[in-house]
Amino acid sequence: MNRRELVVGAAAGALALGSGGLAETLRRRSTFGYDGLEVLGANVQPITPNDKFYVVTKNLIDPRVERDRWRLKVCGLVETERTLDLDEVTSMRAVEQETTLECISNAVGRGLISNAAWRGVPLSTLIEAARPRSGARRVFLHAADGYTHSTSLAKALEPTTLLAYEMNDEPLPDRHGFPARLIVPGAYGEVSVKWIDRIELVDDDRKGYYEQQGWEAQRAHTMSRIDVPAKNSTVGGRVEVRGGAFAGDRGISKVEVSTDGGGSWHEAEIGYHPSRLTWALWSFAWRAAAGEHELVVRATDGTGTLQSPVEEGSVPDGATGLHRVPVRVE
Amino acid sequence: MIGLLAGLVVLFASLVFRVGLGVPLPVELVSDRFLPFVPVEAFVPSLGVVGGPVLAKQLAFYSSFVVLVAIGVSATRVYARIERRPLPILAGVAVVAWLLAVAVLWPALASNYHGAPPDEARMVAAGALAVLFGLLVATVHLTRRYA
Repeated sequence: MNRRELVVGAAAGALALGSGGLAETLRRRSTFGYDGLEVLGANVQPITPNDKFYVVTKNLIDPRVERDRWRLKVCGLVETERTLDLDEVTSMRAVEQETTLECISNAVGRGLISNAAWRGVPLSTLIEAARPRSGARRVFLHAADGYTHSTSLAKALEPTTLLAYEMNDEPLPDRHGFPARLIVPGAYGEVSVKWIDRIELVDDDRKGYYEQQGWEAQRAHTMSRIDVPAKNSTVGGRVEVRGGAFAGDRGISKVEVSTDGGGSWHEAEIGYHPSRLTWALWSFAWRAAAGEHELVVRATDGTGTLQSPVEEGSVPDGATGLHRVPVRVE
Repeated sequence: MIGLLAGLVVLFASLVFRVGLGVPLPVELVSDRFLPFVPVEAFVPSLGVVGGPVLAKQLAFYSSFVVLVAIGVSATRVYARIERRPLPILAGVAVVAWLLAVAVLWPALASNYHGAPPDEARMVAAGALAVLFGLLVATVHLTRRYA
């Protein structure tokens, strides 16, 4: 090896080591360890702890937005464009609102759904302060990571649509959108934009990141799920069947359980359902006869509409169908 | 070896920009620019083919490093084949490539993972791309000439 090769080789080695160190830093911060985190099974709690809350993200590495650099701009078809920092946002009249979010890719029986108490400012407060022009009819939302989504101006002005900056009495964790995210009840989670930095009022139908792909997330379907007992488990004669149900912003009026594969239905007791924006946690005391059974659950939303039994995948507007859990009773 | 060095310089710089300034990695810029155009009917099954979204992300993350090094190796080989005035030619190609990258990636350049406002983020990201192309040319030229 001549001197030239030695110098180049040493430099390459040093750069490889340096790159490896930086790549490892990014890998540790990456979403690889938590993207797709689910909430289901026997340990489901009414309020999901922040570190257990489901996560679905487009990112390899989620943003770590610096508090002092963050600005929220309200722009587009408004009379008064506004730019606010976090102190200005948090000094506005805040509301606390428990809201369940569900990912549009949540399959029947799966756990890409969680519930939290969010604190923030109604989005209507911010938009009305900017005085929308008469032609504005949609809101295009931008985030620090390049993510975008749209919603109707009417939805944005609903009093339950929030710009949230706290989650379960803590500042939003980085992975959940620090310093601020939207909470859009009734729509699937992809509309509740994390790391939001721009709210643009528009008069056209431009589409956001997932909307361009063809996802239709504006209305969450009614869903229900059995958490206990687990699929294919063996249980005793007295069984407490438990689970959750959710219907976007329509609330849950009834949950029914079948122990014979859908032949007959029994009304379950709803134990936790503080508002129409949250999931309902239910239970059903089942005196089971020995043998093979198939448990099925279905929910009725707050408008009286029964959950669709038609089995459809999550593409393009969210999954439908009934959750079925085969069990053996001894 | 010079090609490897050039690729590693570009890789190292892109990682420094990502960790230090929140500038998206090239793979993040490219995926954010083009993935929205993939219809969901194709997007979801394609994730399944590579073992799910997390494995797909890991594949993209690590393979992008290989791609950057391969670009360095390729640029060095091209440079070696240019008999007359290789530096102006390689620099010219780099400028065109930078302009093309900025034009094509323009919407994605507004992203910044540390929260820089969009206009500032776009300038920083475009500048970072310019630095990456510049480093590539400079490394190839200087190492071939002086090392």
